[in-house]
Amino acid sequence: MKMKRFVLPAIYILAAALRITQAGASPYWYDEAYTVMVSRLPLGQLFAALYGDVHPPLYYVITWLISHTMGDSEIVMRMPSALLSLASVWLTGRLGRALGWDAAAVLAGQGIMAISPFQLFFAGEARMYALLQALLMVAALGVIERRWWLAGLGALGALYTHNYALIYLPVIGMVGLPCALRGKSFLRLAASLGLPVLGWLPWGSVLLGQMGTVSGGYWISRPTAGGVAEILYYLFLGFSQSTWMFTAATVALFGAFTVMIWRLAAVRPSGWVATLTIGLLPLALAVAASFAWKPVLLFRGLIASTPALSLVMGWWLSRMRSSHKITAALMLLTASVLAVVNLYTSNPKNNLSNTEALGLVRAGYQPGDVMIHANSGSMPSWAVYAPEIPQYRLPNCGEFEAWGSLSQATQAAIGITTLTLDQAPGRVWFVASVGPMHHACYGPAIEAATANAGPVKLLADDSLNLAGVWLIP
Amino acid sequence: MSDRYIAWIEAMNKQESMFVVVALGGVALGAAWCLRSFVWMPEPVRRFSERAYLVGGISIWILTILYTVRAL
Repeated sequence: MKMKRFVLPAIYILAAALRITQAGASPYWYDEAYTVMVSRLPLGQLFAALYGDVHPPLYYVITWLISHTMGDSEIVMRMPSALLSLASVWLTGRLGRALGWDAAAVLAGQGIMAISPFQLFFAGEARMYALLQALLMVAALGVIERRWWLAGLGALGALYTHNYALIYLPVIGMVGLPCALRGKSFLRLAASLGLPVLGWLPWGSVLLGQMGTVSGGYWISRPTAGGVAEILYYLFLGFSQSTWMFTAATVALFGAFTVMIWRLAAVRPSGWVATLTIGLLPLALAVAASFAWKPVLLFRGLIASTPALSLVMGWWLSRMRSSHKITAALMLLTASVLAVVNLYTSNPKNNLSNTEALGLVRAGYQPGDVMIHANSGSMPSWAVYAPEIPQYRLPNCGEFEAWGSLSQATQAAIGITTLTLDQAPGRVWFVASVGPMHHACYGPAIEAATANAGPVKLLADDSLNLAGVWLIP
Repeated sequence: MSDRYIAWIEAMNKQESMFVVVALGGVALGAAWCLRSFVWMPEPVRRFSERAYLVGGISIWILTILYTVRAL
């Protein structure tokens, strides 16, 4: 208890410092730039953009309000995620106690959440994942503590934040079911989660139309053993690990995971079934849906599993003998800290490449010049930072642009219009960004477009990606 | 399908296979640790085996890092 008095504030201070200091550290990457583009639109147009996209509107309405009142600098737009992620560290404590974990386990779980590389990535991203996690934790807390209004509010908010709430809410309902049956409050449980679903139905009809556009991409994992194992790794150690550390970290994590599950099954501490259910069942459901329906295995959508898994890991670590703790700390803590360091040092560098290229364009820009993108993929990141330069994209060269690219409706709503090179009024700054998901026609199209052009900056040129800027006189 | 897509799928397949092997290695090490409880041994031997396992585990872990750094 005495230790808790000092350790808990230290955990919150560390969690806050790690989250808030990185908020303005790097330029926006593609997804964040899309958030900013959408948030700059008038509210009606924002909804037109979202109807053609794959995400519900709550997060964008929040960022719209922020953007229209406080501007859209990186630190301002990422602050909600930083604060919500910090709130999740506190919610982990509440959830852990409500699930019946002892004080040491809860404290360790909060400590893991504070420095989790996975959590820190989404705490520093102007996207909806920290919000989704916080709302789902509120819904779970409401169900477990039988505060039905809280459960309903969290569930409704989560449904309007991300489609993965549809996977988590049945799991949360399942966790609350035994207690609700014992307390004869099944109807209240059903109402607290069922009414939000009814309230979400208007958006559900939009979702049905959007489902056709969910067609895989870099962000959809394959439901294979490797894909699932990778997601489990991400949930604990994030995806910023250095190559040289990755193998050792994987061995240590899966070894720890095995011993942890073994100890859980042997000791069966209070709340272990409910906690593991929240931690692992959503992943199992997403895998099942990917087999039975279409690929929907999105590791980012599983962010709300991290608090539960952190509590289980926290319980295991807090019960260890000192010598074992040193071993675990040497292996897991080192892997975790190095992943955080890598996240904080490499992320800004990666995102800076576009900014550097934009600096070169600005230096050589002449009135009458236009910028033409090979496709819509590179446009948000450039348009957000250079709204003064007229920007267009080439028309699609094939029957589709890329798997997972913005729909035509969304592109029209956020102001992405097409222009061919022949139609350009003057010089063209040609920006290309092509990856594996793009139609095969883009390779030859870019080759043809840049045949007589001077390269300004080549950002990537390997077997997977081609990205760069050329000046076409 | 573009050449980039085919190269990406090949890279993904290779990466996933390697990941499964490495993860299974970790699971095997963890399972071996758990299975010690089924093997009877005198207490001093158990304590020694435990320390040997921990030291061995850390050594393998550090050697893996060094090997990867060298391979890179």
